[in-house]
Amino acid sequence: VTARAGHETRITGRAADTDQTASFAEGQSQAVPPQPSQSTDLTQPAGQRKLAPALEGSSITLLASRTPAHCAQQTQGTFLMWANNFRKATSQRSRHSPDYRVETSQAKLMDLSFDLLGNALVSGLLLGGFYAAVTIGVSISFGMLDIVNIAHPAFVILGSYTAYIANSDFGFDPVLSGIALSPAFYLLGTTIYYVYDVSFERRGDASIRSLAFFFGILFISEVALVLVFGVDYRLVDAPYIGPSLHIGVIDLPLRLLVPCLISLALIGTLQLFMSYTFIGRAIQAVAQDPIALRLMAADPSRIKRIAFGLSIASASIAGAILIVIQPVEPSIARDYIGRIFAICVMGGLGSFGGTVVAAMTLGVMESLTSTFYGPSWSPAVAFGFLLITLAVRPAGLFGRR
Amino acid sequence: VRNVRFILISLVVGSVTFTVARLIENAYVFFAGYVVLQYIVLATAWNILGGYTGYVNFGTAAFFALGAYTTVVLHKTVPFLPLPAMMLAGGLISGIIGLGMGYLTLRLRGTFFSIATLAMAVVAQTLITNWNFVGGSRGAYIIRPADSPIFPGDYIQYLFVVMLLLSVTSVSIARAIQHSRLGYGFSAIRDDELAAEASGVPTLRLKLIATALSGGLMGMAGAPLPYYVTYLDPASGFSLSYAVNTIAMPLIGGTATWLGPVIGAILLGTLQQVATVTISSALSLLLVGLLLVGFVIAAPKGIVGWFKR
Repeated sequence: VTARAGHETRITGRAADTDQTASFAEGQSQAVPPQPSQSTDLTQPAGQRKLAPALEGSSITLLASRTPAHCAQQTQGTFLMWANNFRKATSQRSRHSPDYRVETSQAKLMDLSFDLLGNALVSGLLLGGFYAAVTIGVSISFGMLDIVNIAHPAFVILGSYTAYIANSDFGFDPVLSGIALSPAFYLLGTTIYYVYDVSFERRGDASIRSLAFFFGILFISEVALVLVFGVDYRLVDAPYIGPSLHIGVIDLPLRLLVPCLISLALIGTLQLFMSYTFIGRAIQAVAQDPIALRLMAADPSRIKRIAFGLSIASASIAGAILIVIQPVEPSIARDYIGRIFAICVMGGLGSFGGTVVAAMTLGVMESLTSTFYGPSWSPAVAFGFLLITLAVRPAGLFGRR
Repeated sequence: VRNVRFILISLVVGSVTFTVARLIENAYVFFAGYVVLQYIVLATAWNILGGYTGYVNFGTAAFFALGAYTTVVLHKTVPFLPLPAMMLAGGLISGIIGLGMGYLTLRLRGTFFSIATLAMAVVAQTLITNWNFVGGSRGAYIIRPADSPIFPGDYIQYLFVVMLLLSVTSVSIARAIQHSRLGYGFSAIRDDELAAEASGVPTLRLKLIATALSGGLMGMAGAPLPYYVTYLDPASGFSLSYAVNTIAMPLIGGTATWLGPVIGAILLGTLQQVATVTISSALSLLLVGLLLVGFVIAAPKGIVGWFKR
């Protein structure tokens, strides 16, 4: 991040030196728009520089939002500088249109903004696909079982750390180890559900205490992870972290593409399970009418235990792909609570298709926000989204209620 | 009359506390005592909404930090303003925010309100982080005056007294509510909101009153914080540990009465101060989390519940 900030400054500095720019900027020497001045400088490889901000905008979205404070500040500064220059340049176009040099820069600018927009949209969709995997567990526990598991992101982070250990200590692929470890998470989930069932559900009327219970679990796991691993950011190694596919000007980082595909596969599998197996259908039924389920010779408590186990098992895979996408430290669980519940509520509780669509919508909105306003604003998007959804349409976009 | 007597008794208790603290002649007593008193206010404020009406607020840190940042803003614009006035302003801002939040989400099930409060904490933190006037993510420095403005002594003693008075006020409010029409309305909402609504309890209005009052008290508790820490950044102001502590204290003490949060705050607050000094602050936080989960599972009525059996 630091290197990039330097790069940006260097470009601006060079632009200020050329006299073309001076005539162009008309006394606004403090606010030299770097993009137009670059495009008048024909000796530079234009495409490369033109794409640079666009790629940065799309691919470091997540990274930057979680880098330490001073780095984030710097990134934000760079982004804001760029965005301001962009706006100034666009506003100057009309006044200077007779000048042919500005005409060319205008064309470049249009290209630039389309590239930027396209890349932001694509990376938003990929990011959204990943958000769907993080949310799907809550769609099961909150949407179907009516268990407000606000600790779900903590389990996702736990999944990230188990994948991290499997990767750094034993050299396994993070995603495969996430899948391999999901049975262990399933057992963890059934254990937690057992405690929950005995202490709250069977005693009746326990909404406050069960909320506090999961909040406590969230907090305990965060503090425990801090005690064990410290607050450093952890990364994994895998062949698909780094390279990108390029389709025209659109850039598809494998680091986002692989998680998105795995997430969609996970959700597809769960959807098939829910639709075509007895237990799956029983899970869908248990929230609606546990007594009727009992009449069908299924124990509601057991069905819920299985469903909750599945929701925690999904956290193992979601955690593994989370650490592929971004470096992880214990406290990022909190940032995901808002995202998860925003998506879950907006997607209509318990609807898998709705979850995917809502996740991708949120992903695109976050990506656009961090591209055009700076990544430090992106957490507010999810939460603003959630507040608006709750205020305007609590049943969600695809809710049946 | 009972309320007046209660306030007098608690004022006496308060002044005895202050005198004892001064006799110890160790400034740390005031620093530690301030935190415990601050938690008494926070836990009592949380309990007005969470314990009496049954709506769980995870956004304590947001209300608290908004109060603190109000002080930062006022300190930069009108530095001559006395601390109590800043506290009133902080309380007002947090109360209004609470009212707005409640208006948006309190019509829904309680769960949604809880999730929305969590969300609000992050939105508020993002706004503050991006607001350069109050220091952004770098944080803001506040120079603490050396001496107390009203009596001879260190400024921390003044902060201690202010927080002591605030905690007496909030506990008195909580106690007065508990034995009033308002309190019965709150309990009716907690026990069965539909039935309460059907029997003519103005549920939405009562919930809004509770949210605004609770948020306002939290804001007032947060307002002196910049003077206490002298350096305030969003990460510490909005720390999740405030939220966890304010939920854990009433639940450990017992949510049904005004006494529960006070017991919980004194016990847990002191325990944490001791554990922070003797072990480590991370472990003391872990302790709070474990106690919260343990009490929620094993002792649903809290410590007060043990004696009322």
